[in-house]
Amino acid sequence: MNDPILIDFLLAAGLVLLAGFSLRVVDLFTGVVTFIIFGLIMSVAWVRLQAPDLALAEAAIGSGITGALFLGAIRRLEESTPGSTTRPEYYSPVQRELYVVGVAGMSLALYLLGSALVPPLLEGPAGLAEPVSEAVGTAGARNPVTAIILNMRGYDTMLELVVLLLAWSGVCVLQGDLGRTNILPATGELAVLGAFVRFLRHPGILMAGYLIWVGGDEPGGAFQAGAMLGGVGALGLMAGGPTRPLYSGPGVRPVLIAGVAAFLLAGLSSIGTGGMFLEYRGEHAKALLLVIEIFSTLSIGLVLTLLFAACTFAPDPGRGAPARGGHS
Amino acid sequence: MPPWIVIVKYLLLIIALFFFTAGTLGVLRFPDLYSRLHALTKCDNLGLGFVVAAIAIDAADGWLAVKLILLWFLALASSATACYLVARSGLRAGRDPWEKKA
Amino acid sequence: MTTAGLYLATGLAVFVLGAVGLFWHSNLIRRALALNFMATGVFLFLVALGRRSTIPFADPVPHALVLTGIVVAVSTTALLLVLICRFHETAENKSADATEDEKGRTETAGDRE
Repeated sequence: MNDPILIDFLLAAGLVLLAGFSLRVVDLFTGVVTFIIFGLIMSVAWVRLQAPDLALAEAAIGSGITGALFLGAIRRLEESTPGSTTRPEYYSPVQRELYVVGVAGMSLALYLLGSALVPPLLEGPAGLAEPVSEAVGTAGARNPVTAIILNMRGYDTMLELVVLLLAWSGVCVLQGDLGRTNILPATGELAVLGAFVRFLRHPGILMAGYLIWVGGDEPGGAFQAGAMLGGVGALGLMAGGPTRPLYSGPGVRPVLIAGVAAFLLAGLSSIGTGGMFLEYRGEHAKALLLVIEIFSTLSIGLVLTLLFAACTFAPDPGRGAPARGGHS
Repeated sequence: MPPWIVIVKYLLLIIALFFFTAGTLGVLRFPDLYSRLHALTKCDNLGLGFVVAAIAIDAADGWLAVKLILLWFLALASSATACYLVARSGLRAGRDPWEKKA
Repeated sequence: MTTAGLYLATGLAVFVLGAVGLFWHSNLIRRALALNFMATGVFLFLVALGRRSTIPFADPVPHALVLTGIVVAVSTTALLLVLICRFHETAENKSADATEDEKGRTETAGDRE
Protein backbone atom coordinates (compact mmCIF):
# COMPACT_ATOMS: atom_id res chain seq x y z
CA MET A 1 0.00 0.00 0.00
CA ASN A 2 1.50 3.29 -1.04
CA ASP A 3 1.81 6.35 1.11
CA PRO A 4 -0.09 9.52 0.29
CA ILE A 5 1.82 12.22 -1.57
CA LEU A 6 1.37 15.98 -1.32
CA ILE A 7 -1.48 16.14 -3.83
CA ASP A 8 -3.50 13.65 -1.76
CA PHE A 9 -3.35 15.93 1.27
CA LEU A 10 -4.23 18.96 -0.86
CA LEU A 11 -7.21 17.12 -2.38
CA ALA A 12 -8.44 15.87 0.99
CA ALA A 13 -8.17 19.30 2.60
CA GLY A 14 -9.78 20.94 -0.44
CA LEU A 15 -12.72 18.53 -0.42
CA VAL A 16 -13.48 19.05 3.26
CA LEU A 17 -13.12 22.84 3.06
CA LEU A 18 -15.28 23.10 -0.08
CA ALA A 19 -17.99 20.88 1.43
CA GLY A 20 -18.07 23.00 4.58
CA PHE A 21 -18.06 26.27 2.64
CA SER A 22 -20.72 25.13 0.19
CA LEU A 23 -23.17 24.32 3.00
CA ARG A 24 -22.44 27.34 5.18
CA VAL A 25 -22.13 30.19 2.66
CA VAL A 26 -24.99 32.70 2.85
CA ASP A 27 -25.71 32.88 -0.89
CA LEU A 28 -27.26 29.64 -2.14
CA PHE A 29 -26.06 30.23 -5.71
CA THR A 30 -22.46 30.41 -4.46
CA GLY A 31 -23.11 27.22 -2.51
CA VAL A 32 -24.19 25.35 -5.62
CA VAL A 33 -21.25 26.65 -7.66
CA THR A 34 -18.96 25.49 -4.84
CA PHE A 35 -20.66 22.08 -5.04
CA ILE A 36 -19.77 21.93 -8.75
CA ILE A 37 -16.13 22.80 -7.98
CA PHE A 38 -16.20 20.14 -5.25
CA GLY A 39 -17.31 17.61 -7.87
CA LEU A 40 -14.44 18.53 -10.19
CA ILE A 41 -11.88 18.18 -7.37
CA MET A 42 -13.60 14.93 -6.46
CA SER A 43 -12.99 13.56 -9.94
CA VAL A 44 -9.25 14.22 -9.50
CA ALA A 45 -9.51 12.31 -6.19
CA TRP A 46 -11.09 9.38 -8.07
CA VAL A 47 -8.10 9.35 -10.42
CA ARG A 48 -5.79 9.24 -7.38
CA LEU A 49 -7.81 6.26 -6.08
CA GLN A 50 -7.27 4.50 -9.45
CA ALA A 51 -10.95 4.78 -10.38
CA PRO A 52 -10.94 6.54 -13.77
CA ASP A 53 -14.47 5.32 -14.59
CA LEU A 54 -15.71 7.17 -11.54
CA ALA A 55 -13.68 10.25 -12.45
CA LEU A 56 -15.53 10.47 -15.77
CA ALA A 57 -18.90 9.81 -14.15
CA GLU A 58 -18.31 12.32 -11.34
CA ALA A 59 -17.26 15.10 -13.72
CA ALA A 60 -20.19 14.48 -16.07
CA ILE A 61 -23.00 13.45 -13.72
CA GLY A 62 -22.00 14.15 -10.12
CA SER A 63 -20.90 17.71 -10.71
CA GLY A 64 -22.13 18.57 -14.23
CA ILE A 65 -25.71 17.34 -14.46
CA THR A 66 -26.44 17.59 -10.72
CA GLY A 67 -25.10 21.14 -10.65
CA ALA A 68 -27.26 22.06 -13.64
CA LEU A 69 -30.31 20.58 -11.88
CA PHE A 70 -29.67 22.71 -8.78
CA LEU A 71 -29.03 25.91 -10.75
CA GLY A 72 -32.14 25.28 -12.82
CA ALA A 73 -34.27 24.74 -9.70
CA ILE A 74 -32.92 27.90 -8.03
CA ARG A 75 -33.65 29.98 -11.11
CA ARG A 76 -37.14 28.54 -11.35
CA LEU A 77 -37.92 29.23 -7.69
CA GLU A 78 -36.54 32.77 -7.91
CA GLU A 79 -39.04 33.43 -10.68
CA SER A 80 -42.07 31.55 -9.43
CA THR A 81 -41.81 32.21 -5.67
CA PRO A 82 -39.51 35.13 -4.90
CA GLY A 83 -38.13 34.84 -1.42
CA SER A 84 -38.23 31.06 -1.06
CA THR A 85 -34.60 30.39 -1.96
CA THR A 86 -33.01 33.81 -1.98
CA ARG A 87 -33.91 34.47 1.64
CA PRO A 88 -30.74 34.35 3.74
CA GLU A 89 -30.82 32.22 6.86
CA TYR A 90 -30.32 33.65 10.31
CA TYR A 91 -29.02 31.64 13.23
CA SER A 92 -28.83 32.44 16.88
CA PRO A 93 -25.50 31.97 18.71
CA VAL A 94 -26.96 28.85 20.35
CA GLN A 95 -27.68 27.38 16.94
CA ARG A 96 -24.18 28.17 15.74
CA GLU A 97 -22.73 26.38 18.75
CA LEU A 98 -25.06 23.44 18.16
CA TYR A 99 -23.66 23.19 14.65
CA VAL A 100 -20.07 22.96 15.88
CA VAL A 101 -21.10 20.47 18.58
CA GLY A 102 -22.95 18.41 15.98
CA VAL A 103 -20.03 18.27 13.55
CA ALA A 104 -17.51 17.52 16.30
CA GLY A 105 -19.68 14.93 18.02
CA MET A 106 -20.60 13.05 14.89
CA SER A 107 -17.00 13.10 13.63
CA LEU A 108 -15.80 11.69 16.94
CA ALA A 109 -18.48 8.99 17.07
CA LEU A 110 -17.86 7.90 13.49
CA TYR A 111 -14.10 8.03 13.99
CA LEU A 112 -14.31 5.74 17.03
CA LEU A 113 -16.65 3.38 15.20
CA GLY A 114 -14.46 3.47 12.10
CA SER A 115 -11.19 2.89 13.93
CA ALA A 116 -12.68 -0.29 15.38
CA LEU A 117 -14.27 -1.53 12.15
CA VAL A 118 -12.08 -0.30 9.31
CA PRO A 119 -8.53 -1.66 9.94
CA PRO A 120 -9.64 -5.32 9.82
CA LEU A 121 -11.49 -4.50 6.57
CA LEU A 122 -8.43 -2.85 5.03
CA GLU A 123 -6.32 -5.92 5.76
CA GLY A 124 -9.18 -8.33 5.22
CA PRO A 125 -9.72 -10.90 2.48
CA ALA A 126 -9.48 -9.83 -1.13
CA GLY A 127 -13.22 -10.21 -1.57
CA LEU A 128 -14.45 -10.47 -5.13
CA ALA A 129 -11.51 -8.70 -6.77
CA GLU A 130 -9.71 -11.94 -7.67
CA PRO A 131 -12.72 -13.82 -9.13
CA VAL A 132 -13.63 -10.72 -11.14
CA SER A 133 -10.16 -10.37 -12.63
CA GLU A 134 -10.24 -14.08 -13.57
CA ALA A 135 -13.71 -13.91 -15.14
CA VAL A 136 -13.11 -10.69 -17.09
CA GLY A 137 -11.58 -12.66 -20.00
CA THR A 138 -14.87 -14.37 -20.84
CA ALA A 139 -17.23 -11.54 -19.91
CA GLY A 140 -17.11 -9.64 -23.19
CA ALA A 141 -15.38 -6.56 -21.74
CA ARG A 142 -11.79 -6.19 -20.62
CA ASN A 143 -12.59 -3.20 -18.43
CA PRO A 144 -13.58 -4.94 -15.16
CA VAL A 145 -16.00 -2.15 -14.17
CA THR A 146 -17.92 -2.49 -17.45
CA ALA A 147 -17.87 -6.29 -17.09
CA ILE A 148 -19.35 -6.07 -13.59
CA ILE A 149 -21.95 -3.47 -14.51
CA LEU A 150 -23.27 -5.08 -17.68
CA ASN A 151 -22.56 -8.75 -17.25
CA MET A 152 -21.85 -9.99 -13.73
CA ARG A 153 -24.34 -7.66 -12.06
CA GLY A 154 -26.65 -7.08 -15.01
CA TYR A 155 -29.67 -7.22 -12.72
CA ASP A 156 -28.50 -4.18 -10.77
CA THR A 157 -27.90 -2.13 -13.87
CA MET A 158 -31.18 -3.08 -15.51
CA LEU A 159 -33.05 -2.13 -12.36
CA GLU A 160 -31.03 1.06 -12.16
CA LEU A 161 -32.46 2.05 -15.53
CA VAL A 162 -35.85 1.28 -13.99
CA VAL A 163 -34.95 3.65 -11.12
CA LEU A 164 -34.29 6.40 -13.68
CA LEU A 165 -37.69 5.70 -15.27
CA LEU A 166 -39.31 5.74 -11.81
CA ALA A 167 -37.74 9.11 -11.06
CA TRP A 168 -39.14 10.42 -14.33
CA SER A 169 -42.60 8.96 -13.57
CA GLY A 170 -42.49 10.63 -10.17
CA VAL A 171 -41.63 13.93 -11.82
CA CYS A 172 -44.55 13.46 -14.26
CA VAL A 173 -46.94 12.87 -11.35
CA LEU A 174 -45.70 16.00 -9.58
CA GLN A 175 -45.50 18.27 -12.52
CA GLY A 176 -47.71 16.95 -15.30
CA ASP A 177 -46.26 19.31 -17.84
CA LEU A 178 -42.89 20.76 -18.72
CA GLY A 179 -44.24 24.23 -19.09
CA ARG A 180 -43.06 27.04 -21.23
CA THR A 181 -40.56 26.57 -23.93
CA ASN A 182 -37.48 28.40 -22.84
CA ILE A 183 -35.57 29.66 -19.89
CA LEU A 184 -34.17 32.77 -21.55
CA PRO A 185 -35.77 34.86 -24.26
CA ALA A 186 -34.51 33.55 -27.60
CA THR A 187 -33.27 36.93 -28.74
CA GLY A 188 -30.18 37.66 -30.75
CA GLU A 189 -28.10 37.68 -27.59
CA LEU A 190 -28.65 33.97 -27.17
CA ALA A 191 -27.28 33.30 -30.63
CA VAL A 192 -23.83 32.55 -29.23
CA LEU A 193 -25.12 29.76 -27.00
CA GLY A 194 -27.28 28.47 -29.86
CA ALA A 195 -24.29 28.41 -32.20
CA PHE A 196 -22.25 26.62 -29.55
CA VAL A 197 -24.94 23.95 -29.16
CA ARG A 198 -25.16 23.51 -32.93
CA PHE A 199 -21.38 23.18 -33.01
CA LEU A 200 -21.33 20.76 -30.08
CA ARG A 201 -24.16 18.50 -31.28
CA HIS A 202 -22.17 16.33 -33.62
CA PRO A 203 -18.92 16.08 -31.64
CA GLY A 204 -21.11 15.34 -28.60
CA ILE A 205 -22.86 12.41 -30.27
CA LEU A 206 -19.52 11.24 -31.65
CA MET A 207 -17.97 11.39 -28.17
CA ALA A 208 -20.89 9.45 -26.68
CA GLY A 209 -20.35 6.74 -29.29
CA TYR A 210 -16.63 6.75 -28.58
CA LEU A 211 -17.23 6.41 -24.84
CA ILE A 212 -19.48 3.39 -25.45
CA TRP A 213 -16.93 1.81 -27.77
CA VAL A 214 -13.86 2.22 -25.55
CA GLY A 215 -15.91 1.39 -22.43
CA GLY A 216 -15.34 -2.30 -23.13
CA ASP A 217 -11.60 -2.06 -22.66
CA GLU A 218 -10.87 1.27 -21.03
CA PRO A 219 -12.65 3.74 -18.74
CA GLY A 220 -16.01 4.76 -20.17
CA GLY A 221 -19.37 3.17 -20.86
CA ALA A 222 -23.09 3.73 -21.11
CA PHE A 223 -23.47 6.02 -18.08
CA GLN A 224 -20.70 8.39 -19.07
CA ALA A 225 -21.94 8.42 -22.67
CA GLY A 226 -25.53 8.96 -21.54
CA ALA A 227 -24.41 11.88 -19.39
CA MET A 228 -22.70 13.35 -22.46
CA LEU A 229 -25.98 13.18 -24.41
CA GLY A 230 -27.88 14.55 -21.42
CA GLY A 231 -25.46 17.47 -21.22
CA VAL A 232 -25.91 18.32 -24.89
CA GLY A 233 -29.69 18.06 -24.43
CA ALA A 234 -29.66 20.35 -21.38
CA LEU A 235 -27.54 22.92 -23.24
CA GLY A 236 -30.00 22.80 -26.12
CA LEU A 237 -32.83 23.55 -23.70
CA MET A 238 -30.87 26.44 -22.19
CA ALA A 239 -30.34 27.86 -25.68
CA GLY A 240 -34.09 28.09 -26.07
CA GLY A 241 -34.85 24.65 -27.46
CA PRO A 242 -38.51 23.67 -27.16
CA THR A 243 -39.50 21.33 -24.34
CA ARG A 244 -42.91 20.33 -25.62
CA PRO A 245 -41.71 17.81 -28.26
CA LEU A 246 -39.39 16.34 -25.64
CA TYR A 247 -42.32 15.74 -23.36
CA SER A 248 -44.95 14.46 -25.74
CA GLY A 249 -43.14 13.72 -28.99
CA PRO A 250 -43.90 10.42 -30.70
CA GLY A 251 -40.43 8.89 -30.25
CA VAL A 252 -40.04 9.74 -26.58
CA ARG A 253 -41.57 6.71 -24.90
CA PRO A 254 -39.84 4.10 -27.10
CA VAL A 255 -36.45 5.73 -26.39
CA LEU A 256 -37.27 5.94 -22.65
CA ILE A 257 -37.76 2.18 -22.38
CA ALA A 258 -35.10 1.24 -24.98
CA GLY A 259 -32.44 0.52 -22.35
CA VAL A 260 -34.60 -1.76 -20.21
CA ALA A 261 -35.99 -3.44 -23.34
CA ALA A 262 -32.48 -4.13 -24.68
CA PHE A 263 -31.50 -5.61 -21.32
CA LEU A 264 -34.56 -7.87 -21.25
CA LEU A 265 -34.19 -9.05 -24.85
CA ALA A 266 -30.47 -9.72 -24.48
CA GLY A 267 -31.17 -11.53 -21.19
CA LEU A 268 -33.81 -13.71 -22.83
CA SER A 269 -31.51 -14.44 -25.75
CA SER A 270 -28.88 -15.69 -23.31
CA ILE A 271 -31.46 -18.14 -21.94
CA GLY A 272 -32.06 -19.26 -25.52
CA THR A 273 -28.40 -20.13 -25.97
CA GLY A 274 -28.29 -22.25 -22.82
CA GLY A 275 -27.11 -19.69 -20.27
CA MET A 276 -28.97 -18.05 -17.44
CA PHE A 277 -30.99 -14.84 -17.62
CA LEU A 278 -28.65 -11.86 -18.20
CA GLU A 279 -25.60 -14.14 -18.36
CA TYR A 280 -23.41 -13.58 -21.40
CA ARG A 281 -20.40 -15.70 -22.19
CA GLY A 282 -18.20 -16.46 -25.14
CA GLU A 283 -17.82 -14.75 -28.47
CA HIS A 284 -21.26 -13.13 -28.66
CA ALA A 285 -20.84 -11.44 -25.29
CA LYS A 286 -19.08 -8.35 -26.64
CA ALA A 287 -21.68 -7.75 -29.35
CA LEU A 288 -24.56 -8.21 -26.89
CA LEU A 289 -23.00 -5.84 -24.36
CA LEU A 290 -22.47 -3.26 -27.10
CA VAL A 291 -26.14 -3.41 -28.15
CA ILE A 292 -27.28 -3.07 -24.53
CA GLU A 293 -24.95 -0.13 -24.03
CA ILE A 294 -26.09 1.73 -27.13
CA PHE A 295 -29.77 1.55 -26.16
CA SER A 296 -29.07 2.25 -22.48
CA THR A 297 -27.09 5.34 -23.49
CA LEU A 298 -30.04 6.68 -25.47
CA SER A 299 -32.42 6.09 -22.54
CA ILE A 300 -30.06 7.63 -19.98
CA GLY A 301 -29.39 10.67 -22.17
CA LEU A 302 -33.10 11.29 -22.71
CA VAL A 303 -34.06 10.80 -19.04
CA LEU A 304 -31.30 13.16 -17.87
CA THR A 305 -32.42 15.82 -20.37
CA LEU A 306 -36.03 15.42 -19.26
CA LEU A 307 -35.09 15.63 -15.57
CA PHE A 308 -33.16 18.84 -16.24
CA ALA A 309 -36.14 20.27 -18.11
CA ALA A 310 -38.47 19.34 -15.25
CA CYS A 311 -36.28 20.99 -12.61
CA THR A 312 -35.81 24.16 -14.64
CA PHE A 313 -39.23 24.93 -16.12
CA ALA A 314 -42.31 25.46 -14.00
CA PRO A 315 -45.46 23.98 -15.53
CA ASP A 316 -47.64 26.24 -17.60
CA PRO A 317 -50.53 27.35 -15.40
CA GLY A 318 -52.89 27.08 -18.35
CA ARG A 319 -51.86 23.64 -19.47
CA GLY A 320 -52.58 21.72 -16.39
CA ALA A 321 -50.36 21.08 -13.49
CA PRO A 322 -52.08 18.11 -11.89
CA ALA A 323 -55.11 19.08 -9.88
CA ARG A 324 -54.43 19.09 -6.17
CA GLY A 325 -57.66 17.94 -4.51
CA GLY A 326 -60.61 20.35 -4.30
CA HIS A 327 -61.05 23.63 -6.06
CA SER A 328 -59.48 25.99 -3.58
CA MET B 1 12.74 8.42 -26.14
CA PRO B 2 15.36 10.94 -27.24
CA PRO B 3 16.31 13.35 -24.45
CA TRP B 4 15.35 16.46 -26.39
CA ILE B 5 11.68 15.42 -26.28
CA VAL B 6 11.81 15.34 -22.50
CA ILE B 7 13.42 18.77 -22.42
CA VAL B 8 10.82 20.22 -24.81
CA LYS B 9 8.02 18.59 -22.78
CA TYR B 10 9.15 20.15 -19.52
CA LEU B 11 9.72 23.49 -21.24
CA LEU B 12 6.12 23.43 -22.51
CA LEU B 13 4.84 22.48 -19.06
CA ILE B 14 6.75 25.37 -17.49
CA ILE B 15 5.25 27.80 -20.02
CA ALA B 16 1.80 26.35 -19.22
CA LEU B 17 2.41 26.82 -15.50
CA PHE B 18 3.33 30.44 -16.16
CA PHE B 19 0.01 31.09 -17.90
CA PHE B 20 -1.97 29.26 -15.23
CA THR B 21 -0.24 31.25 -12.49
CA ALA B 22 -0.83 34.51 -14.34
CA GLY B 23 -4.49 33.65 -14.91
CA THR B 24 -5.05 32.66 -11.27
CA LEU B 25 -3.32 35.81 -10.03
CA GLY B 26 -5.58 37.82 -12.30
CA VAL B 27 -8.72 36.15 -10.97
CA LEU B 28 -7.63 36.89 -7.42
CA ARG B 29 -6.38 40.43 -7.90
CA PHE B 30 -8.31 42.08 -10.76
CA PRO B 31 -10.96 44.59 -9.73
CA ASP B 32 -14.10 43.55 -11.64
CA LEU B 33 -15.92 40.64 -13.27
CA TYR B 34 -14.86 41.47 -16.81
CA SER B 35 -11.12 41.76 -16.24
CA ARG B 36 -11.22 38.60 -14.13
CA LEU B 37 -12.90 36.76 -17.00
CA HIS B 38 -10.17 38.10 -19.26
CA ALA B 39 -7.55 36.63 -16.91
CA LEU B 40 -9.38 33.32 -16.58
CA THR B 41 -9.51 32.68 -20.31
CA LYS B 42 -5.68 32.88 -20.36
CA CYS B 43 -5.61 29.62 -18.35
CA ASP B 44 -8.05 27.85 -20.65
CA ASN B 45 -6.66 29.04 -23.94
CA LEU B 46 -2.91 29.22 -23.47
CA GLY B 47 -2.18 27.19 -20.33
CA LEU B 48 -4.30 24.24 -21.37
CA GLY B 49 -2.94 24.53 -24.92
CA PHE B 50 0.64 24.18 -23.68
CA VAL B 51 -0.29 21.27 -21.38
CA VAL B 52 -1.93 19.53 -24.34
CA ALA B 53 1.13 20.20 -26.51
CA ALA B 54 3.41 18.80 -23.80
CA ILE B 55 1.40 15.58 -23.50
CA ALA B 56 0.87 15.30 -27.27
CA ILE B 57 4.58 15.28 -28.20
CA ASP B 58 5.03 12.53 -25.61
CA ALA B 59 2.00 10.53 -26.83
CA ALA B 60 2.41 6.85 -27.65
CA ASP B 61 0.69 7.15 -31.03
CA GLY B 62 -0.52 9.86 -33.37
CA TRP B 63 -4.21 9.26 -32.65
CA LEU B 64 -3.80 10.09 -29.00
CA ALA B 65 -2.19 13.38 -30.01
CA VAL B 66 -5.07 14.12 -32.40
CA LYS B 67 -7.63 13.36 -29.66
CA LEU B 68 -5.81 15.66 -27.23
CA ILE B 69 -5.79 18.52 -29.72
CA LEU B 70 -9.51 17.99 -30.46
CA LEU B 71 -10.07 18.16 -26.71
CA TRP B 72 -8.30 21.48 -26.58
CA PHE B 73 -10.50 22.88 -29.36
CA LEU B 74 -13.63 21.75 -27.49
CA ALA B 75 -12.35 23.41 -24.30
CA LEU B 76 -11.65 26.60 -26.29
CA ALA B 77 -15.16 26.67 -27.73
CA SER B 78 -16.84 26.01 -24.40
CA SER B 79 -14.73 28.51 -22.47
CA ALA B 80 -15.43 31.20 -25.06
CA THR B 81 -19.17 30.53 -24.83
CA ALA B 82 -19.15 30.37 -21.03
CA CYS B 83 -17.13 33.58 -20.82
CA TYR B 84 -19.59 35.37 -23.09
CA LEU B 85 -22.58 34.14 -21.09
CA VAL B 86 -21.08 35.15 -17.74
CA ALA B 87 -20.16 38.61 -19.05
CA ARG B 88 -23.63 39.05 -20.54
CA SER B 89 -25.43 38.12 -17.34
CA GLY B 90 -23.06 40.42 -15.46
CA LEU B 91 -24.01 43.31 -17.72
CA ARG B 92 -27.70 42.46 -17.34
CA ALA B 93 -27.38 42.41 -13.58
CA GLY B 94 -26.09 45.97 -13.83
CA ARG B 95 -22.43 45.48 -13.00
CA ASP B 96 -20.49 48.35 -14.49
CA PRO B 97 -16.99 47.77 -15.82
CA TRP B 98 -14.31 49.08 -13.50
CA GLU B 99 -12.71 52.40 -14.32
CA LYS B 100 -9.60 53.92 -12.87
CA LYS B 101 -10.52 56.65 -10.44
CA ALA B 102 -9.24 60.01 -11.56
CA MET C 1 -0.96 6.88 7.23
CA THR C 2 -1.89 5.20 3.98
CA THR C 3 -3.63 6.74 0.97
CA ALA C 4 -6.69 4.62 1.71
CA GLY C 5 -6.73 5.89 5.32
CA LEU C 6 -6.50 9.52 4.20
CA TYR C 7 -9.42 9.18 1.79
CA LEU C 8 -11.44 7.17 4.34
CA ALA C 9 -11.10 10.09 6.75
CA THR C 10 -12.00 12.58 4.00
CA GLY C 11 -15.11 10.61 3.07
CA LEU C 12 -16.11 10.51 6.72
CA ALA C 13 -15.62 14.27 7.15
CA VAL C 14 -17.65 15.09 4.03
CA PHE C 15 -20.40 12.73 5.21
CA VAL C 16 -20.52 14.40 8.64
CA LEU C 17 -20.65 17.90 7.14
CA GLY C 18 -23.51 16.79 4.91
CA ALA C 19 -25.38 15.00 7.70
CA VAL C 20 -25.19 17.95 10.11
CA GLY C 21 -26.09 20.36 7.30
CA LEU C 22 -29.13 18.23 6.48
CA PHE C 23 -30.61 18.74 9.94
CA TRP C 24 -29.30 22.21 10.57
CA HIS C 25 -30.61 24.08 7.53
CA SER C 26 -34.22 24.96 7.00
CA ASN C 27 -33.84 25.85 3.32
CA LEU C 28 -35.00 22.76 1.42
CA ILE C 29 -32.60 23.19 -1.52
CA ARG C 30 -29.72 23.40 0.93
CA ARG C 31 -30.92 20.15 2.44
CA ALA C 32 -30.88 18.53 -1.01
CA LEU C 33 -27.33 19.83 -1.44
CA ALA C 34 -26.39 18.36 1.96
CA LEU C 35 -27.82 14.97 0.92
CA ASN C 36 -25.58 15.04 -2.15
CA PHE C 37 -22.54 15.71 0.00
CA MET C 38 -23.49 12.80 2.27
CA ALA C 39 -23.75 10.52 -0.77
CA THR C 40 -20.35 11.63 -2.06
CA GLY C 41 -18.82 10.99 1.37
CA VAL C 42 -20.16 7.43 1.35
CA PHE C 43 -18.88 6.87 -2.20
CA LEU C 44 -15.41 8.08 -1.24
CA PHE C 45 -15.43 5.80 1.81
CA LEU C 46 -16.44 2.74 -0.24
CA VAL C 47 -13.85 3.24 -2.96
CA ALA C 48 -11.10 3.93 -0.42
CA LEU C 49 -12.05 0.64 1.29
CA GLY C 50 -11.51 -1.01 -2.10
CA ARG C 51 -7.78 -0.28 -1.89
CA ARG C 52 -7.04 -3.03 0.59
CA SER C 53 -3.51 -4.12 1.35
CA THR C 54 -4.28 -7.72 0.40
CA ILE C 55 -4.90 -7.01 -3.31
CA PRO C 56 -2.31 -5.37 -5.54
CA PHE C 57 -4.81 -3.32 -7.62
CA ALA C 58 -7.87 -1.20 -6.94
CA ASP C 59 -10.93 -3.39 -6.34
CA PRO C 60 -13.33 -2.88 -9.30
CA VAL C 61 -16.41 -4.08 -7.38
CA PRO C 62 -16.90 -0.90 -5.30
CA HIS C 63 -16.20 1.12 -8.47
CA ALA C 64 -19.18 -0.49 -10.18
CA LEU C 65 -21.25 -0.07 -7.03
CA VAL C 66 -20.41 3.64 -6.77
CA LEU C 67 -20.99 4.26 -10.49
CA THR C 68 -24.50 2.88 -9.95
CA GLY C 69 -24.81 5.05 -6.86
CA ILE C 70 -23.86 8.25 -8.69
CA VAL C 71 -26.60 7.71 -11.27
CA VAL C 72 -29.20 6.83 -8.62
CA ALA C 73 -28.15 9.96 -6.69
CA VAL C 74 -28.73 12.21 -9.69
CA SER C 75 -32.19 10.76 -10.36
CA THR C 76 -33.27 11.08 -6.73
CA THR C 77 -31.87 14.63 -6.62
CA ALA C 78 -33.94 15.56 -9.67
CA LEU C 79 -37.11 14.11 -8.13
CA LEU C 80 -36.35 15.86 -4.84
CA LEU C 81 -35.78 19.22 -6.55
CA VAL C 82 -39.05 18.99 -8.49
CA LEU C 83 -40.80 18.07 -5.24
CA ILE C 84 -39.25 21.12 -3.52
CA CYS C 85 -40.25 23.40 -6.41
CA ARG C 86 -43.82 22.13 -6.38
CA PHE C 87 -43.93 22.53 -2.60
CA HIS C 88 -42.98 26.19 -2.80
CA GLU C 89 -45.26 26.79 -5.76
CA THR C 90 -48.46 25.58 -4.13
CA ALA C 91 -50.65 28.53 -3.29
CA GLU C 92 -50.62 28.15 0.51
CA ASN C 93 -46.84 27.92 0.75
CA LYS C 94 -46.42 30.78 -1.67
CA SER C 95 -48.19 33.13 0.72
CA ALA C 96 -46.24 31.68 3.65
CA ASP C 97 -42.99 32.35 1.77
CA ALA C 98 -44.08 35.91 1.13
CA THR C 99 -44.75 36.55 4.85
CA GLU C 100 -41.47 34.89 5.79
CA ASP C 101 -39.76 37.09 3.24
CA GLU C 102 -41.27 40.20 4.84
CA LYS C 103 -40.22 38.96 8.27
CA GLY C 104 -36.71 38.24 7.01
CA ARG C 105 -36.46 41.74 5.59
CA THR C 106 -37.52 43.41 8.80
CA GLU C 107 -35.06 41.22 10.70
CA THR C 108 -32.31 42.24 8.32
CA ALA C 109 -33.23 45.86 8.81
CA GLY C 110 -33.22 45.28 12.56
CA ASP C 111 -29.78 43.69 12.39
CA ARG C 112 -28.38 46.64 10.54
CA GLU C 113 -29.51 49.16 13.07
